[in-house]
Amino acid sequence: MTLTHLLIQALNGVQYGFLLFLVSSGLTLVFGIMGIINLAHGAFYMLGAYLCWWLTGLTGNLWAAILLGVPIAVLVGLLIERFGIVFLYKRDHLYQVLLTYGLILILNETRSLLWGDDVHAVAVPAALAGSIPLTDIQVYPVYRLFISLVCLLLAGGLYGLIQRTRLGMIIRAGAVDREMVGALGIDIRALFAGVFALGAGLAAFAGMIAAPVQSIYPGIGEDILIVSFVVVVIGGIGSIKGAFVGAMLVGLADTFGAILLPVGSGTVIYAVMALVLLWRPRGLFGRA
Amino acid sequence: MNSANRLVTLLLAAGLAVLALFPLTGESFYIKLAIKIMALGIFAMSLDLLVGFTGMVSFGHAAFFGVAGYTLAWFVNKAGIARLEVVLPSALAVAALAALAIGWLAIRTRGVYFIMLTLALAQMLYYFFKDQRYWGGTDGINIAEKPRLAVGDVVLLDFGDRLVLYYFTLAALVGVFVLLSVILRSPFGRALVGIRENEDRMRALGYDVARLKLAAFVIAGTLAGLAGFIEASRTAFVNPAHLSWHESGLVLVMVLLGGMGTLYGPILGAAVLVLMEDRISGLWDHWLLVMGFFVIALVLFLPHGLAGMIGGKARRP
Amino acid sequence: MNDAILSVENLSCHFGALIAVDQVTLDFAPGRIHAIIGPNGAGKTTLINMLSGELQPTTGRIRFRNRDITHTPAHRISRMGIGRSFQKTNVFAGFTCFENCRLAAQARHARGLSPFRPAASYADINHRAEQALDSCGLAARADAVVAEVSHGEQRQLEIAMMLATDPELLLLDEPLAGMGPEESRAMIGLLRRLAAGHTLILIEHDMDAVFEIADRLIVMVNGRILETGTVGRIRASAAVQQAYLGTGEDTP
Repeated sequence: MTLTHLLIQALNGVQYGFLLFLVSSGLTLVFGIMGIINLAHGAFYMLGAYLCWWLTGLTGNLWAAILLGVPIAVLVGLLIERFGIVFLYKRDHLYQVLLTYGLILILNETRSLLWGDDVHAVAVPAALAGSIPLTDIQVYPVYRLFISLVCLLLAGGLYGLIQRTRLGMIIRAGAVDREMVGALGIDIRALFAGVFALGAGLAAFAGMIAAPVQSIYPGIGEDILIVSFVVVVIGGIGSIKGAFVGAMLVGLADTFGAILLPVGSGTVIYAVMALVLLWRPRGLFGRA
Repeated sequence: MNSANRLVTLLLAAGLAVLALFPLTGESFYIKLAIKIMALGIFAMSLDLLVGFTGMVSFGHAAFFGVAGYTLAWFVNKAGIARLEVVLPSALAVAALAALAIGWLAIRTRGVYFIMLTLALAQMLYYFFKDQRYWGGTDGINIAEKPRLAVGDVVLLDFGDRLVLYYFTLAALVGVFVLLSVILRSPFGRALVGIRENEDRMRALGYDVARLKLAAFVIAGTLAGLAGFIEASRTAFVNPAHLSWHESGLVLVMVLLGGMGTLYGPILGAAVLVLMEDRISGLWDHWLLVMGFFVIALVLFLPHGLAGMIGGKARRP
Repeated sequence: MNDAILSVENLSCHFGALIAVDQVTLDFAPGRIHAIIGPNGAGKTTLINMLSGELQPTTGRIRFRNRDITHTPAHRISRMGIGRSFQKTNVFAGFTCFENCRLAAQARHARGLSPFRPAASYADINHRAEQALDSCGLAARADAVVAEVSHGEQRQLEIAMMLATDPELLLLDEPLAGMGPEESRAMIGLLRRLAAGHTLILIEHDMDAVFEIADRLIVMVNGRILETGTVGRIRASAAVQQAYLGTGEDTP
C-alpha cells in the first residue's frame, strides 16, 4: 500500500471519526448530565439525513437544507424531551431503555410514513464537488475535507462552550453532580432541555452534512448509534474528551480494519472496545 | 398460600391443560403459532433470569437465540447432518460458548456500560452473519431439513411433524420453567437475587459476584439458544434479524409486559406480543408504530406487567 | 513476624492529588477492641475500606495472620475471616431480617452454592442465621421485612449479618451512628460481648462509648496516625486534645 493510499484512508478515518464525535457527544452529554441512556439518539442522525434529502429536493440547495433542517431537528428534539424524555429522570436504566426503544419504533415508522423506505442520495454541492490532487493519479474529494473542517470547527466550538463559558461550567458541574446544580438555583429543567436539544442538533447536523457522501437508508440511524455506543464505552460516559478520542480511535480503526481484514472487518471496532474495557472498565476517561 | 398465589397457580394449571389438549383441534396455523409462543416463552423466561432475578439488563440476548438457529442451519445445510442428537446439543453448546465469551467481557462492567456492551457485542454477531455470503447475508439461510431423532430405521421424533414439534416444545417449556424454579429456590438462585438487591453487600459477604453473574448469563444464554433452535426448526429458516437488537428489545418487552421476576409472566408476555403481532401486522404495514406507543404506555402505566395486575409478585424497574 | 492478627505497613491511599491515607503503620493485637477516632475526613473509612479489600492501596502492605492480603479482592478477604459492617446501613431492604442473615451465613457454606437443593433445607445455614440474629437481640424480628424495622434494629442487623459469616476480625464503621441512648447502650453491650472471641476494629464518633469499651485508641488526623495508646493516655495527650478532642466541642 502506497503512502498516498494510507493518507487517503487516514483522511477518511478522521472524517468518519469527526462525524462519530458529533453524534457521540450528544449521547454522552445526555447520559452524563441527565443520567439518561437514550437509545433513540440515532434517530436524530437519521432525521438529519432524510431532512437533508427532502429539503434539498425542495430548495435545490444543500446549504438552505441545512439551515432549515437543523432548527427543525432541534425542535423535534425539544418536543421529544418535553413529551417523552421527561418521564425518564431519576428512573431505572431498564425503564429508560424500554421507553426509548418504543421511541425508536415510533420514529422509524413515522419516517417510513413520511418518506418511505427507499434509499436516497444527495448530490455534493457544485462549489465543493472538485478534488484535490495528491499525486499524479490520486485525488481526494474536496467535500470530504470540507466535512472534516466543519466538524473540527464545531468540535472546537463545543470545546470552547464546555470549557470557557459559564453555561459550559454549569454543564460540567451537572455532569459531576446533578442535584447540587439544582440546589444552586440553576433551572435544571431548562438545562436538561437545552442539553438534549444540543445533542439532537449535533446528531442531525452530522446526518445532514454527511448526506452527500453516504446513502440515505432506513437503518442509518441505528447503524451509527451502535458505533456511537462503542465510542462512548471506549471514551467513558459523560466525557466529551473521551467521546473525541474514542471517535477518532473508532473512525481510524474501522477504516483501516476494513482494508487490513476484509473478512470480518466489522468486528475490528468491537475488538478495540473489548481491549479498552479489559484495561479500563469505565472507558478511557470515564469517572471511576 | 395467599389468594394471589392460588389464582396464579390455578391459571398456570389451566394454561397447561389448554396447551396440552389444544393441538387436538387440528388447526394447523394456530398450532404453529402456539409453538412460536412457547418457544418465545422460553426465550423470555431465560431473559427474566437475568433481568428480573439477577438485575442484569442485557440488551443483546437475541445473539444467543440467533446463533443457535445458525448452528442448526450450518449442520443441516453445510455439514449435511440433521440428526437431533447431534444438532440440538451442538446448538446449545454454541449458544453457551457465545454467552461465555460475551458474558466474560460484559461482566466486567456494570449499569449502563453493561447494557451498551451487550448491545454492541450482539450487534457485532449480527453484522458477522449479515455481511458474509457464506451465512446467507441479509437473506439468511433456508434450512433444508428438519431435525430428526432416529434409532436405526425407526424414527422416534421428527420435527417435520408439527405435532411432534409441538409436544417437544411444550415439554421444553415446562421443563425450563421447572428447572428455573428449582434453581431460583436454591442457594445459587438466592444469591442471584441477593446480587440484584445489593451487589456490593454480596461481595462484602464473601460471594464471588463475578462468577455468579457469569453463571447466570451462561444459563440464560443456553436456554435462549434452546428457544432459537426450536424456532429455527419450526420455520426452517434463519436470518440475521434473529440476532438484531429489535429482537433483543422485543424479548425485553415481553418480560416487562408479563411481569419481571415471576417466570410465568414472561410466558404471558410472549403470548400477548406474538398474538398482537399476528393480528395487527396483518392489518397495517406500519404496525410497529402501534407497538412503539404500546411499549411506552406499558413502561409508564403498567410497569409491574400483567402478573402484577393479577396480584402476582412482579417487580418493576 | 509478630503475633498481631492484622498489621499494616506504610499504607497509603491516593486519589489523584489527594492523599486520603498517608503512610500508616499499625499492629492490631487479637482479642482486643481497637477504636479509630479522628475528625471527619481524617481517612478513617478509607483505611477500613483498604483493610476490607474494597479499595486498593496505592502503596504499603496489609497482613492478616501473617498472610499478605494487600491486593486480595474483597470477597476473598471476607472469606478469610474478616467481617465488615457499614456506616451507611447496607442491608437487603426487600428481604426479611432472617433472609438477610441466611444469605450471609450461606456465603460461608463449605461446599459452594448448589443450584438444585432448596435453600431453605440447609439446616446448618438456617441455624447459623438464627444464632446471629439472636446474639444481636433480633430474634423477635426475624420475619419482619427490613423496611419495617427501626433504624437501630437495622444497625443491629448490620452486625448480625456480619456475625453470620463467622468472622474472626470485625471491621465496624460507626456502629452507633444515628442511635438514641437506649439503642446505644444495647449496641455497646453487644460490642463488649463480641470482644470475647473476636478482634474488633471500629470507627466511632461517640466518644463516651469509645472511652468506655476501647482497649486501645488510634487517633487519625489528615490521613496520618497522630497517636495510639490506651484510653487514659490518649485522653491525657495534649497533642490529641489540640487536634481533635478540643475543648469539648466536636470539630466539624
